[in-house]
Amino acid sequence: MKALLRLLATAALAGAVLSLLNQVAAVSFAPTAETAAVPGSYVADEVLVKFKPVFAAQSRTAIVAARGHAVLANLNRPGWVRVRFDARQTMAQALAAYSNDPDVEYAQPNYIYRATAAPNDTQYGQLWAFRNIGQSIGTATYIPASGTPGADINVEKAWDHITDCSSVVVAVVDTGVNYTQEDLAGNMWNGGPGFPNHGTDFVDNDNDPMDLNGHGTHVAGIIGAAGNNATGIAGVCWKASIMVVRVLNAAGSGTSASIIQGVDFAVSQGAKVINMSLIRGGAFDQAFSDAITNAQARDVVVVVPAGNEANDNDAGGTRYPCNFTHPNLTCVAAFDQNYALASFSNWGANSVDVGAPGTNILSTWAGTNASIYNTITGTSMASAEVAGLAAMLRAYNPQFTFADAVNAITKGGRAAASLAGKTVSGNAIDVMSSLAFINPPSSLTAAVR
Amino acid sequence: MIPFGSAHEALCTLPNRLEYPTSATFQLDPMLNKRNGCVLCMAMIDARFIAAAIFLAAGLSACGGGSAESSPPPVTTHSVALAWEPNRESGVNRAGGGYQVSISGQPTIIVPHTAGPAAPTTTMVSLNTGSYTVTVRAFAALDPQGGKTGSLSAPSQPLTLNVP
Repeated sequence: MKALLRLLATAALAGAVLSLLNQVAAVSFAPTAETAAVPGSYVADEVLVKFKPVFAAQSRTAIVAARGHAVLANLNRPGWVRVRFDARQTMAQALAAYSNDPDVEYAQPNYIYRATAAPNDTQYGQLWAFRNIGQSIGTATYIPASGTPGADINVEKAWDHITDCSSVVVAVVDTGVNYTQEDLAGNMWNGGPGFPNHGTDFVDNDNDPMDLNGHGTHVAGIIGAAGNNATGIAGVCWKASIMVVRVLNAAGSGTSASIIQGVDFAVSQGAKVINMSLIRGGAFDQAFSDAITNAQARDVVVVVPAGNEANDNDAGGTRYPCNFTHPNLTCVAAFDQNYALASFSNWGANSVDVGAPGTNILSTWAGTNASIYNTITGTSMASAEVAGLAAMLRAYNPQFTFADAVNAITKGGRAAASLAGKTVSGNAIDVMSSLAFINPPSSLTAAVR
Repeated sequence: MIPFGSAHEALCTLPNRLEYPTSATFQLDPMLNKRNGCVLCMAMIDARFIAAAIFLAAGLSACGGGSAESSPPPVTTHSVALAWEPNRESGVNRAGGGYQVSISGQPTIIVPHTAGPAAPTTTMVSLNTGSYTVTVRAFAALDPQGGKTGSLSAPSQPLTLNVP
């Protein structure tokens, strides 16, 4: 009997040891922020170490010295020291050494922080969509003319990582673009000798898509006005490649035929994002739908506005192209400066995907004066912000498909109470969050050997 | 002196008769599993208590799922190759990025980017006989606030894996 008891006790002990070993294995595999840190984002040969409270400064120094490292400073926080480690060690090795030390509570890289990028453009302070500090917009055409701090597209943090989207051609299918405007001239698509004016014109059927309205130029500036050039405004992308496709006349109207030609041109000339800030209520347009399908087959993201009639696009009458159901098409509603749905903005729980700022938006404009800007309001402006984001995502992730970009835009956004039940995602776009968004891996397989 | 053969039989069937207090299952280190057949057979008889204790612990894990009425199928260990499609996010395919493989009842496996233009999209694991649910997540260094604390994707579609 005694022998059996002894056997059981020993067995229990062995089981406990095995269980502990399993736990240790699990801990050693756990992902940590430290192992995920990117070289260049921390001081190469330094770590910050927090010792347990029982260790006085002298003891901490001795423990560090025993590893051949040096205490550079005792931080003004209990137990924390800044350590320079042996240059022959990697950051991972140094962190592992301290993390496994029972005298240590925590170890981390000495991260490097930088000022969040904000451009020096002279009228940047008016761009509430990019940085909403509750400022009043002097040239406002929509009330309220001031809003809620923080209600913006969170683009400044993204500018720490990318401002140049010029590797991705963005087609502005609209009234044309004032390609000589000071904030746009350097960011136009290079169409080579065939398209010396950065695009084409399906209204006058020539190769000069100069804007005679202003709407297309405004949209283009939101997407890609030169940033940090001490001039005017900044776009979502500071450097861009904007292709001009004129399909709407000086009054701002166009036909299915010209729009379809425009979409096909953009696709065939290599655009990967198309912004089409135009809309029509009424019957389904098969030819237009086919053009979007062609764009989908060529891996092009198409961004369109919800419309400006305060209409439910699902129940109150369809609006095209917003109501097309192509997976490469994203339809956008407009917020005011408080991130309430703008009073004019259409919505649709099944047809409108996301929301973005659309009131009192300052951007570039048409005219012979190269320094001309204007403040206007509409879901067209919201659409342009999303098109800029799509370009940024595809520039940052060159292997992205249209589906990856659309997912990152819609699922990477942040919930907006005013869109609940009024859009597919319920989300406002969030540029930084979309930039960090990761699609789930696919096609997992296993082979047992 | 007790012949080891009889001790082995007694120890192997003992866990089947025990009512284990929870529904938890244990997974053994594969190397331990390989060892417990031959090392214990060669154990000196005067070390039988230690050997028997280790074998009982192994028995709790390997034989614990059986019933008193029937013997469970023998547990074997197999190599399993897991593979998935590469993610297209740049952050996944550079330093600080990679994948995290979750297998039910097993420690999480990290498959980090180490070099080159892409993080690896395969890994080999050793698994005992049984049914497992496998998912993969991708990760990158950048976080949604613009910092470097990292982001993790949603899990892939789960894969049910039956190891014979």
